[in-house]
Amino acid sequence: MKIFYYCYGSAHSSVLAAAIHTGMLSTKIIPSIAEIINLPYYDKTETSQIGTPFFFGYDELDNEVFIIGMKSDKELVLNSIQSLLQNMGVSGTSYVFINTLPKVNFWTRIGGFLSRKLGWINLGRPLTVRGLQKVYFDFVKLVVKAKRDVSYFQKENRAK
Amino acid sequence: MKVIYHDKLGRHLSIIAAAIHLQLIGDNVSRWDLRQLPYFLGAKSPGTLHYMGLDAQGNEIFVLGRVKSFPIIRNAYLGLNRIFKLNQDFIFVDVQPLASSSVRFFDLLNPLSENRDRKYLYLNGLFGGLEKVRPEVNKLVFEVKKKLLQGEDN
Repeated sequence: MKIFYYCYGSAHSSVLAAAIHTGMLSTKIIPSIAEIINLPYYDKTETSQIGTPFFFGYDELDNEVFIIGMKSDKELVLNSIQSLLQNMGVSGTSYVFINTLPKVNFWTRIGGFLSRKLGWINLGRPLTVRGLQKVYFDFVKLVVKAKRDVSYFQKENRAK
Repeated sequence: MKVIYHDKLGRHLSIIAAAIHLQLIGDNVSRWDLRQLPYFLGAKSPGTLHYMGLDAQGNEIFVLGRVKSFPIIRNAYLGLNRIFKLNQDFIFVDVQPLASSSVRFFDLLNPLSENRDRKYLYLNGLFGGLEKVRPEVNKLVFEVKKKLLQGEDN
């Protein structure tokens, strides 16, 4: 299965969730600033790249994990993606999209705006990390639930 | 080849372009003819990619209403094409620049189309605007078809 974590710009919250999912970050302890900043794609995606799905890694069940940004029109973009895949005959059971934006707090939003939109990386990037550290275990919960759902779904499908 | 005609709402211009491409409508077309086109003034969920048909060269023709998210959708389509190994070639044709000021104005009044009493006013204005831009849409579709044929020759 292909698992897509999506957020506004595929630069912060989707990266964090994908890193937890693929085991790059621990589910037990809050990662350091350096650990977060050094994650692949962290605070890197340019505006022109938003929408491009980036491969992040594999999980322990060999599922492929991706990140993707959808800006603020996520319902429309998601709808478009699903209709494309349906038109191309891709089974709806072969992929899942998980929204990470609801877990993002004020600090990460402000930091992301400063870093990605205004280019004030030195100010914005640390703010995004602080924001994510504050709600880190909410992300862990999101990923644990996603993994449980995916694994349950795969077992059900195999049984059929 | 997948040819995707797209505009803001995917309710009229892109559908007319796709219909011209597929020769579903000719030069003399009535308002009634337009209203018989699939998805015409009917798409209620922007973003949905609608299949319109297969042209004479075997290209699949689609329409898409993408509001302001075209760059994101294009990136997503191209990326997913690679990830899911769909091996498709896409041509994205933006029809929105052909929208005249009257078409854009009646797009803004789109919610009027829900109201039975005002629907006539809305449709009359919109059709007037669409008729004016028809020659431009014809030209655009002609260019797309030419490009597709040149692609086949190469």
